[in-house]
Amino acid sequence: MTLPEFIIVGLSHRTTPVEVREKLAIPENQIAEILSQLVKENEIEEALLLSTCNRVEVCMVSANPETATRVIRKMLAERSGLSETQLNSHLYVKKEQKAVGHFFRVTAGLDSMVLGEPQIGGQIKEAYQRAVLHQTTGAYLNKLVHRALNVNKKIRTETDIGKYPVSVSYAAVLLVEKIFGDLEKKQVLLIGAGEMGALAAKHLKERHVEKIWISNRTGEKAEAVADEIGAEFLPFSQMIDRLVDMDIVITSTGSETYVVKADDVREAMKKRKNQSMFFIDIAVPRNIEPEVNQIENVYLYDIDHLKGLVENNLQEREKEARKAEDLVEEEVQSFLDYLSAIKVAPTIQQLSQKLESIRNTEVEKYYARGLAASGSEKEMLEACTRAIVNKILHEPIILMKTEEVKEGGTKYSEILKKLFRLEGES
Amino acid sequence: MISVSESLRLHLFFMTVAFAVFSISFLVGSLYLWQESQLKRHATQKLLSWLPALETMDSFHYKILILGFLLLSGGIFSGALLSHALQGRFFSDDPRQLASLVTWALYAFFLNVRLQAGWRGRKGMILSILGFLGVILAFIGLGHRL
Repeated sequence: MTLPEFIIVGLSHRTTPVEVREKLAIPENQIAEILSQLVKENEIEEALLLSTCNRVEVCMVSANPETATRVIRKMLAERSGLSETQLNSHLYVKKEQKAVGHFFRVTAGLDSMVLGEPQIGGQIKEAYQRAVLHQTTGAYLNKLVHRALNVNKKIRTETDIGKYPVSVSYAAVLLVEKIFGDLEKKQVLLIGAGEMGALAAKHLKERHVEKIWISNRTGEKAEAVADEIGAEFLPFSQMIDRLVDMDIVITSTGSETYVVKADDVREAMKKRKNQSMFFIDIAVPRNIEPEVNQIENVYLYDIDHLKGLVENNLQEREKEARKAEDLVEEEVQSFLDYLSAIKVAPTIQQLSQKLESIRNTEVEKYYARGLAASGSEKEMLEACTRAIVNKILHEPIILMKTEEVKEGGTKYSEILKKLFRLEGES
Repeated sequence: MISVSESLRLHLFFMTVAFAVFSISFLVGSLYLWQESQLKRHATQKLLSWLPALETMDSFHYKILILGFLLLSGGIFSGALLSHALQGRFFSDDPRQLASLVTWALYAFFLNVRLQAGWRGRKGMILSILGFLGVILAFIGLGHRL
């Protein structure tokens, strides 16, 4: 009998363009059915299915990796309408050590499009919960997922991988916090209905700003965004007059000329008694006159400033990711050692029981013949025979625990089982 | 009138605590100016994550300056009493007394313009740091002429 192995069959943004990924993405409501089918009919003992916009992966435990892989290939080909040869150029198959390492790296966001992003950890958790719900996980996947989540936690506490924001809108929000601290009494004005601006406004909403206004030359689009982020519409003609009430201004219009001029801001600052203002100009061409940054207590960041910040942060993340990779490598080794130790444990136990029963039978025979009468004689006999058994067991146990765990196979267990006829005794 | 030793004790108490409080305000003010200039120059990679936000530092600085100002007022008042007890007049041409009064006037100006004209942020901080130079002169730099 061969022991089950970890296998991962999948594709990701690294191997597959989005046109293909979208054909393979598996809707949430179909995952359960696919999982149950996989485990029911084939040589797959445990299975977990992860489908995000950047990857589709099946993580399995099977004693017959070749068949299991073939089944997944066929299933993916059928679902996507691609031929298996077309699909094969995108698919990767990882086994045992490589599969474990890959799973740890994916969980920690080290394989993500945005390096180190934290959402994937949550997605893994959800995928696992779904698999648990449909009873397609077992001892091996349980251990793998728990260890992967722990490694993720460890990476996030021991490295600074999540510390530096790498999206423009999020970087802008952190700068806002560096200027204002508490945002609860701040008002935000969003000029233009661009996507990046709306995203920044959403981040600010999560930080409980008092109010978000949105202003745009054409009302329709702005109103749609206003509904989406819970903002109030401000007519474009009133926008400059209302600057005085705004603490944070985000611009993302397609305007060819400046929408906010330095003189407008000077006027507003006078009225608001110099309370700080923060301008984020995500538009190209720029919407805010650059001179605005010269005004006392006014801070203006344009798209290049923010991109510069993000690039710096990405470099920092890459440094931290290298530390994380080292951690993953250590953890993979320790996890595999742990698994092998679990795998050899039953054989060791069976062997000990066998020898103990032999010893017991022989000693009992000896007693039956009345050869050891006194208590002290019996004690001596017990001690002596136990010592012999332990001495005999010592070498094979050490060998199993070191060699077999190191080599990862089942060679020694198999031999021991044959030599001592251990099968089915425990 | 209170006795010499009583007014001396009072004076020392106010002035020592005021000095400590102004030192903190000076430190906060300097950190504010540093962080402000980094943000203004978009030197974001130099920002220190443990430093509080500008506005947080500004409001803390304002509160602590009010406290320092009250303590300094108490110190000057008790100093005048002390001077009266020793020399028979409340104010003399003692350089320390003069420096204290100038400092007091500077801080009074700072607190006033912050409220009235909105001299918050950088300008206010520079003013407060000037005030602290006055504090150094009044407390350490100049000797009492008795």
